[in-house]
Amino acid sequence: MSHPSPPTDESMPAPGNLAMGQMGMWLFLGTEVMFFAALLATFLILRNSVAGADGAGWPNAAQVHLNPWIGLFNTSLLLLSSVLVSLAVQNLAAGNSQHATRSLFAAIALGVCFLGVKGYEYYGKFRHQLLPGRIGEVFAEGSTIARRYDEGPGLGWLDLLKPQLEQLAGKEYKLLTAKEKPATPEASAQLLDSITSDPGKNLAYGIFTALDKGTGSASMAARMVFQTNESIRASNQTAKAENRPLQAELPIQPALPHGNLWASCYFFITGLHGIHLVAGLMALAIPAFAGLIGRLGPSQYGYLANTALYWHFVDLVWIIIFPLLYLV
Amino acid sequence: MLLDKGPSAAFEATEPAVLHFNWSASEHWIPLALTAVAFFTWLLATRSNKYWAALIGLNAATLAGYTAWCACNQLWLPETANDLGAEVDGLFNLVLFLTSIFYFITQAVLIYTMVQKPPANGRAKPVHGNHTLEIAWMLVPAFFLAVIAIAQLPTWAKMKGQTSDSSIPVGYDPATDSSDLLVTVTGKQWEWRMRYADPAKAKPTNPLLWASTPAADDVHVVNELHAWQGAKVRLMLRTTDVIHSFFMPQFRFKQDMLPGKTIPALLRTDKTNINSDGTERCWEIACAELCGGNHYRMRGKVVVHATREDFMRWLSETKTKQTARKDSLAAATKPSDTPAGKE
Amino acid sequence: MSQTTPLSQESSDHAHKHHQPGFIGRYIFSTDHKVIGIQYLFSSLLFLLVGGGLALLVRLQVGYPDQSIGILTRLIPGLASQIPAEWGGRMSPEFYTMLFTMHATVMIFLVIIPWLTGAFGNFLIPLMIGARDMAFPLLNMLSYWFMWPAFGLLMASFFVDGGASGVGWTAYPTISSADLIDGSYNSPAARHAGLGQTLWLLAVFFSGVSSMMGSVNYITTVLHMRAPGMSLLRMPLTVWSLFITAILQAVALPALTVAALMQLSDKILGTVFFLPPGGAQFGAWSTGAGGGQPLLWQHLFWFYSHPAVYIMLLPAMGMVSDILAVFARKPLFGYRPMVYSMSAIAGLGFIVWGHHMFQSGMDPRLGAGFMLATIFIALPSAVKTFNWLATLWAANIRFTTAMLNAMAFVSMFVIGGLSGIFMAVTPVDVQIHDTYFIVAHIHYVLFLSTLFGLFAATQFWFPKMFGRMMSEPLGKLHFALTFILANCTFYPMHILGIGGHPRRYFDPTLYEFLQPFQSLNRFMTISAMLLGLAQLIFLANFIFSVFFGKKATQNPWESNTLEWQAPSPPPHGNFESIPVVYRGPYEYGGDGATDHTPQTASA
Repeated sequence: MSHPSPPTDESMPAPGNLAMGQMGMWLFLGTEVMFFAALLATFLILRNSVAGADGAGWPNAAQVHLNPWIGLFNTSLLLLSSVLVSLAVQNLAAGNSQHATRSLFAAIALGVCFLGVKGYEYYGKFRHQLLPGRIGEVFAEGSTIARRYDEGPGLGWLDLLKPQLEQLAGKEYKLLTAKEKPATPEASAQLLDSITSDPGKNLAYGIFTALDKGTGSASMAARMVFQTNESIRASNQTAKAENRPLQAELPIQPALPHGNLWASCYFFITGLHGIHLVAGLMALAIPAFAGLIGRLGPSQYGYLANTALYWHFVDLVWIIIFPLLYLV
Repeated sequence: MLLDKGPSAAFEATEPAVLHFNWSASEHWIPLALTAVAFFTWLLATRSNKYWAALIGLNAATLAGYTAWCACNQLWLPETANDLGAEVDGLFNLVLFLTSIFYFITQAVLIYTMVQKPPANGRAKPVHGNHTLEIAWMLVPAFFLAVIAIAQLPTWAKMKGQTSDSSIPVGYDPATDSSDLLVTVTGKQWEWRMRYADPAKAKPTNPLLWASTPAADDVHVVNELHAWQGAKVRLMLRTTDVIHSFFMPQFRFKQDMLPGKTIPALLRTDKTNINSDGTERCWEIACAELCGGNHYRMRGKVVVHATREDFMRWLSETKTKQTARKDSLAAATKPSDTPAGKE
Repeated sequence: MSQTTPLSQESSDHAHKHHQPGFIGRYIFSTDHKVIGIQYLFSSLLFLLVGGGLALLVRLQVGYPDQSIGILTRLIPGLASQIPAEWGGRMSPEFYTMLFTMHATVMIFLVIIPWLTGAFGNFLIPLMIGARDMAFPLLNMLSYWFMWPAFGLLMASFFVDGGASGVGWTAYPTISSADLIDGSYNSPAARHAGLGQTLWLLAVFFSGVSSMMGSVNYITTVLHMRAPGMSLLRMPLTVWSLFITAILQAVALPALTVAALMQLSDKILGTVFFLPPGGAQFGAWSTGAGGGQPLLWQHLFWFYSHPAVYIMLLPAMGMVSDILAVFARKPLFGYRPMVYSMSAIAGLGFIVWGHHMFQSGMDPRLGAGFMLATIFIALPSAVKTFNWLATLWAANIRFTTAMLNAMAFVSMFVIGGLSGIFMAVTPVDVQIHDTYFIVAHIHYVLFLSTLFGLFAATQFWFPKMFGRMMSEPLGKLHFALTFILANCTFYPMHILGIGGHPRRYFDPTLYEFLQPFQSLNRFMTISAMLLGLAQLIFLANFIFSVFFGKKATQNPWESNTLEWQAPSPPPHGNFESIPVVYRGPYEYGGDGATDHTPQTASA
């Protein structure tokens, strides 16, 4: 086969050529797809290995203080920002760089809002100590794994829990110890009554009594913390229906079945997505500020189009993450 | 003779040997001699390229010959301790035979091309390919590969099958467990802790549960696996820290121990390693998965007693010793500190 | 294709009157693909010395377990804690685990992959497809400089608290991933998976990012920047192999990146991805409660690392194919089957990862599937071997150094390929898994195949890189010695493996069943030392020839492919004018005026 044209440089695409830039971006996104595919597949494998057929073994949104509405709000922020970035690309293509700059700044603002909301959500997790390694594991009573937990991993958790329980127990706990026992049986009964009526004091009293007797253990404490929190959540459910004031959860280390695994997945997935988002914001900020000083022109079109592609991808990843973490 | 370097001994701070090469040892002078051979081939090859063919050809032939020599001189697969192991060896030999055919053909052709007469006027015929040949040399290896794939299936099924009677059962069911002896092997850095259920007593209803909850009269031994000839030994493989791999070369048995899992394995002891004169052939246990600096120290041994009675005698002796030790320890410390109390 | 766009006009101007960058711009932070390729070449040669040195220390220990290496602490005082004086200058078992871990890591991530895809990928792809540079020159430069943090982190890790990573290059949890005690990098969980392992994970991350940038660049370049007439099926197999490798990398690497990040977060943030629910107990110390699965790491790791074996082999196959055809003075036999078989290897390479885990407790039905795929991945390799032999058949062979190395590649690849079949037969694999048989296999593939391919390729393309020839006599001496000594070093490992000798043993003399093999271990150690010395010939030849080699002509090997139509060495922009391709790359022999017809020759 012979070629009709003489050798010319013009038939070569040059470095920085638009089509190549887009191809590079698509390939990069391809690796990113593999990245998040591996990540989410890992998440699903881990989740399904403990969740059971009905998903009951996996912490639900209420147990880990996740508000799906906040997630939905965040989703809408990202969707809107994606639309704005698309608009910016269109405006730039049409030569209207001022409009493009404005939509870019709006998109960036929405992205920052997303991060702000995420930060608020993270703050809640820190406040509730829903952090990997800080959550008590709940195992069936008397099981091997519970025994192993008591010998090793649980001890550290118990150390975290004890001072908080003492805080909860207040002076009543001291009063019940041998030294400062109430003088009369009536006073004693009254004290006991005041303890049992308060879930926090009740819990602390129960755990400390068992530990003092030598029958308590980390796994037992974890089960009790979990049950107390569950009953508070349940009573809140009915209270909500009856418009009664809600009861706050106890300010202590939480205990949840598979809570540590949940926290690991939650922070890892949202954290990596957040890093991608920050990278996207920085990439968007360059043309935005270029527009601010009047330097945004058609020559930046390729760059902006590619950045927009990336931004849409980050958005898309969130749309997959959102139902997996908040709804399933 | 080797036990002074036993697995649980501390690293002794002895003087290191002075680097002293015994040059008369064949392993020291042969590499030098071969270096000289390579050097002279290089010198000779300045005269004729045929010497390059000789170098590559002799290498290929030597490797084959050396392999055969090793096979004949016990530098080969260790003795097999059970029928399944013999089956594995059969497969090994089958693959060795089939791959050897390909080895000799390809090396011979390569050497031939190096010594072949160059084409007339120095121009090779510009052949770009041959469809028939391509099909042929795709189908022939495919056939042999299929033979290999199919030949191994029965053995593989015996090793990892659905029934509790395979080496590493997939669907282990305590109800169909027909083993004669239950042993829990717990790997930890860096030893094997073996725990025997007394076979004279009733078998635990759920061996999987028993694997993680020791009974009071279990016998605890470190690094020694005992059984008797013809026994079916159920090994519950576990680890408390990192991945270990329980490897018994004579049994062609190797299985990783995964943290958080109990793997029920079945070991058949078709042969004893107690000779008729009462001496013992050394069958060893090794760790095959890197588990830290002292990975190499996880040495254990297997003793397959000739009869069940011999085994029971060993077991009761061990038990007596264990009870005595427990009592003496109990006098000094809390009972929970004895090795038997801890899992 | 001849349509003119303003953008490409700009670039052609650029190509003709490009500005002259200063020294730093030209040789250090250069964006020229040839300079970057040569930078990769020099760095991988440097790392080869490091990785080789580590290997020799490993061999020394296995062959002579009681020897003193106290002299090392005099050379590098920082190693004093690894080679304690109270043991009379013997290395500690932990130091030994660091040595083989780092040997594998350096060789794989910093020698083989950068040498193949970094050096030759960068240098050859634009030249062989007739382009002026890579599609993204700046990205190309970045990808090179991302490799250096990896190297720095790995080397630094030897000197941090607790020493380098000592958990093997596979870094299986839980030994690698057990988290660290607050405020300390020295967890009792694994004395050598402390800060060193953290740095190792970061290094893997950096080298992954570097490879990923490279692969995006290669794919785009091959798809977009081919010279007129260079259809995909006219590309030399070198380009094909690098192209397929780039695709493999782009698809497989992200899994490793995820896994490395997860392990990193397990170590420093306390997540529990690879920690089983009950945690892990190390003596009196225990980790926190877990919830994850240790086995998950192995799936993610091998999803990358098995294709990585082909990443480390395919480019060598491609380059050897080209070299065989040139010096056989005969067309490559079965060009299309070669391309298809490489694609098949790449495709099957993705579904065989599980064969590394037959003994790890996975579902055997899954195992049977992996076994079938693994057995049949031998098929495309067999097809390639037969095609190489057919290329040599009735050929007019020129015995150059490059050709000898390429022929040795074929001879040795047969062994490496056939020993792989033993592993695919799962019942046999039970016996040889994690023994020296595997070590033998991987070295037959990576040392005796890939490295011989690299020696061939370096000798072959050296004139194009530096404008000078490498010495042929020295090259042949290096070949003869390396060929014999590498076989002496690695072949007996098969025998050891058959005998059941486990890998990664600090002192095999502890075991009675390994006693008969200890003299073999010493034999291999002596051979390995001599093999290491022989490599100095190559280095000397290389460095000497860069400065004093015979001046090279434009096409010293009378090859057809495009790079030989450019001057030696090619200037910035490569070609006077972009060549036009009229034919395939392998038109040798025949009865024409010359025995070769360059791709640019019109009908």
